[in-house]
Amino acid sequence: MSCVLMLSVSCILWGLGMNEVGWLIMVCAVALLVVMMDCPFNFYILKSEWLGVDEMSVLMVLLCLLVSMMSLVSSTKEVKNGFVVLMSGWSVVEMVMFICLGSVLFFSVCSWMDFFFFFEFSLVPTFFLILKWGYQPERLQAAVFMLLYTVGSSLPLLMSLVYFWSYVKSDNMLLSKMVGGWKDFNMNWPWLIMSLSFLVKLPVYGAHAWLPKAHVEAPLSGSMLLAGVLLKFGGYGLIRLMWFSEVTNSTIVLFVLVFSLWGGVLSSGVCSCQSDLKSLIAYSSIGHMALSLSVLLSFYSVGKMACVCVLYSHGICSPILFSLAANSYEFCQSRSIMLSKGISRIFPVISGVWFFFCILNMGFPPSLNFFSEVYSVGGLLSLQWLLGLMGGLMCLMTGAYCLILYSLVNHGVVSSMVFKPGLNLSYRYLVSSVFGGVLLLGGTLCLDMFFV
Amino acid sequence: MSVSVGAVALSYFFFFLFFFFLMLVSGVLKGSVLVLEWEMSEKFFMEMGFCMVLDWVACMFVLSVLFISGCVSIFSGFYLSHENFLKRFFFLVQLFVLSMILLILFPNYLGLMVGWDGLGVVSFLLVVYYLSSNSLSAGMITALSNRIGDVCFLLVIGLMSSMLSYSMWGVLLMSGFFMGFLMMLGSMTKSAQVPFSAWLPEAMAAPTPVSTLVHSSTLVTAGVYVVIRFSEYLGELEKYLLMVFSMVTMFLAGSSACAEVDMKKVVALSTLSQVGMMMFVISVGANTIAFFHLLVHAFFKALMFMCVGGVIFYSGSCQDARLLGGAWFKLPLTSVLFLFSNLSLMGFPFFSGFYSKELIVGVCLSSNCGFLSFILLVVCLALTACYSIRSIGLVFQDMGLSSLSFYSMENSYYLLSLLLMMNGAVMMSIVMQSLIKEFLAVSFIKGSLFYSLLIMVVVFLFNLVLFFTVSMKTMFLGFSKEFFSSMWFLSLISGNLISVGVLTTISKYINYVEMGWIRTYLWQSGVKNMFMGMSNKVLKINFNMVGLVMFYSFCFLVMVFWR
Repeated sequence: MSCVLMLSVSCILWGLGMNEVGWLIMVCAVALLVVMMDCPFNFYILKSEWLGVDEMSVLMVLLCLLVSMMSLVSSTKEVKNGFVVLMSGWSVVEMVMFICLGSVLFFSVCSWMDFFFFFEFSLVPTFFLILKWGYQPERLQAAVFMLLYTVGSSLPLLMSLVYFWSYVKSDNMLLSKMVGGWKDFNMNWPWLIMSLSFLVKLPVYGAHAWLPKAHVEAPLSGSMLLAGVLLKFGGYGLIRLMWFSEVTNSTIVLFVLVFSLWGGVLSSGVCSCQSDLKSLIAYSSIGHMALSLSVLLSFYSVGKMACVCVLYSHGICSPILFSLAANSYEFCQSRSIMLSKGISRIFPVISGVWFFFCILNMGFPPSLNFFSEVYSVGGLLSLQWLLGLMGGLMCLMTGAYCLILYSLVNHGVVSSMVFKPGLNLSYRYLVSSVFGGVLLLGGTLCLDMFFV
Repeated sequence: MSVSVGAVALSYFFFFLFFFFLMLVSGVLKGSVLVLEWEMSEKFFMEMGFCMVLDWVACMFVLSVLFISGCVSIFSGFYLSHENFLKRFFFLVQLFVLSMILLILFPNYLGLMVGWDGLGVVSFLLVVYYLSSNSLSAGMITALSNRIGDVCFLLVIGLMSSMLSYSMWGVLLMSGFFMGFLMMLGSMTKSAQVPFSAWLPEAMAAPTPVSTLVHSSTLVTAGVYVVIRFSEYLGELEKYLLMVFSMVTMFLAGSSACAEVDMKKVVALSTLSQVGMMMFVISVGANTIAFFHLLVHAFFKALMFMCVGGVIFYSGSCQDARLLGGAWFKLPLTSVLFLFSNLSLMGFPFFSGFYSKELIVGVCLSSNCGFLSFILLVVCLALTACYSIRSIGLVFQDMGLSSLSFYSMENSYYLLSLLLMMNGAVMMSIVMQSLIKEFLAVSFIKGSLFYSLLIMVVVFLFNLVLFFTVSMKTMFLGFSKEFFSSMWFLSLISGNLISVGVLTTISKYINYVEMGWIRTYLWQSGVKNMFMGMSNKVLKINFNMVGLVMFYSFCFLVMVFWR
């Protein structure tokens, strides 16, 4: 199986060189990856000295490849832009490929130092992507925000990983766990400091200020990759850290759980009052990630399964919402809700796709989002009835802002303040939505694969 | 246009006949049941699957839904004949019927949620069909009230995940305490019981075919159907609460319908009171009679909505009943059928509503529902009579204000739909009673002449008092008119107060906490100052010769002499 992964990585590297058909190469990579879906669940297998595989990492690698492919398809405007081709240097395709490469390797390595390296590696192409291809002058501060928040909070993680390496004398995830690395320590406060990096990346509510700015100022492919892949780094890292640090269900963990759940409710409420389409979708990311984090911290096995399922289904649904918002941007050259409205009369198919993904975002059965939401709320309810009630409140507010999002974009008449509406929309934004919709609805049929 | 209308309607009737034939052949009426289960995942220890059950309850409901949808599609060929996006409308109606049938056929919580969420979301789309701000606010309150029910059902699924099965027979294996209560609460939001009643009159902003299908027979009865299917989960306390809430709903709806001026809202409120009556019957334990009333009520209420829709269409889309009138002289078939459906609603002897209402009153008399609830039931029956007669008067009498200045009954779609519906409404109760022996219940009351005459006299006197007081003008009357016509201020509370309060709180929260503390204080004043200040200090050291020499020699000494 490692040779299959090597083949797919080399396909990605090959795609680096080709600007126009990079996405085609990615399709080959995905096809290769689907071949290796037959690994058994709940076992972590070391395939070579750097590659470790279990079902969750296969799922996450698949998610990376899918989201990179979708972002390349949706951003062909920037690829084929004549002005950019004339400038020398990296192009969007290469940046996206670098992020994809970093993500795929992040989800596959099995030693802690490589893990940390690839955790920080994918920040560099994202930073460059926001700076060079973003649309507004605020992108400088947004990119600096993102970098400083993320890197600053991962320094304690680096220190503790280096200390741990010198303590156990091995860097390998599986080997150090089997040797019994952390069992001599009381892991409550050290766990919190170590996981601070993942909590900021995830993001938990108090440390979330970088996310709306970064999502809004990034170009379309950057937003799709951020929402689809880079937020999942935090969840994946937390799952690995919890597994290996043997932290118990103590006060600290409960504190983070309640904090993140209440933060999710608050950010879903904040979502209902946003005036910028991309900012609305960004705050919805915070809400979904908060739900997955809180059910993960409940220490139930269904919690981990529901967390992975939320990560996956959010990772497919949110980039598609971003690409639809970019569609609206191309129509009226603004992201404001006052201008991009009333498209139900003029673009009926796009309006139907907006509706479909808005209700998928709020958890419409029988899609994957519904099952992930059901088992998240169910897991929280089994822990404590009050937490389940708050999870239910969050589902209510999720439904509210999804319907608000739909009605803001689709209801009413086209705003008379739009000066020159661009009525020649291409369908490239919708291609990824068809693909993602099939995945999310069809995921119900093979639920065992997503509930890892 | 006629091709699409004909095609859609024919497809509904085809499925109706197909199902009917299948039902007769397969012996469902004699008690056989078909159960199909589709398992989806084995990772948890319980059966996580979609389970389809086809028994006589499901068959009868599916048949009536298909019949009413067929008539509604013909009716919308008449009502929306000038509409540009008729195909889109039919697509939405078909999605709605599909969700309803999924809800009926899958009494398993995982499968039920497909239909339940689908109903809520598609009814939102149907209510906002006319793209105005009025219909948007109506759609939002509809969808959010239904979303509360969704959340209750999500919590029920979460509770059921620790029991053994998600289906309606899970109660035989294991059942928890809160499941019945949350299930009842969820059904109450969909069936618009108090305190979630505000959405039903507001949802009359939808086109009339939508109201005929959705708000008379299918959406509001979905909650009742779920309670009937899962009625074994309800314990004593939940049944008592259900009785209280349904009584309040019946009284609220009946009194508000006497004071409401919008014709469609009057019919909506009469639907609300009948749904309250169905919930009341379930709470005393007679599920079959509630189901019978559900089916019979669906037919004559759809007929009533169609007649009202015809009157509104021919008055130039005027829904205000103070400007209507004179249908007796100008629209004879419509007025006859409207009179018929109102008499059925009142329970006039041997019309179709009579059979189910007689059974309801009988079962309430012979069960232990208490003296006060029986008094309230009789009051609600009297109020039903009151608003039915009022609406007949409003539509029939020629006040001289009406805009029904001409009539044209040549529209064949309208006539065809009315005639089909009429057949259904007239025959349905007798046909059902003869086909299904469970509907022919006998209740053990002493049939004495005194009690039946007493009820009639009470109803008559009550109506007399009401009509007399309505014609007087005092200050108390002015306040009570405000009180009743806004549904005991429920629509203002649910709509204005809650949404304005929540949204202003969120906006203030964003201003102070999001933008204020988190963005400004933490980043701009705090972290940024710290980083910039430190980098300034490092720069200062690097540019000052003495400081440079000292710093680097210090580092050198540390590195050499450590350990």
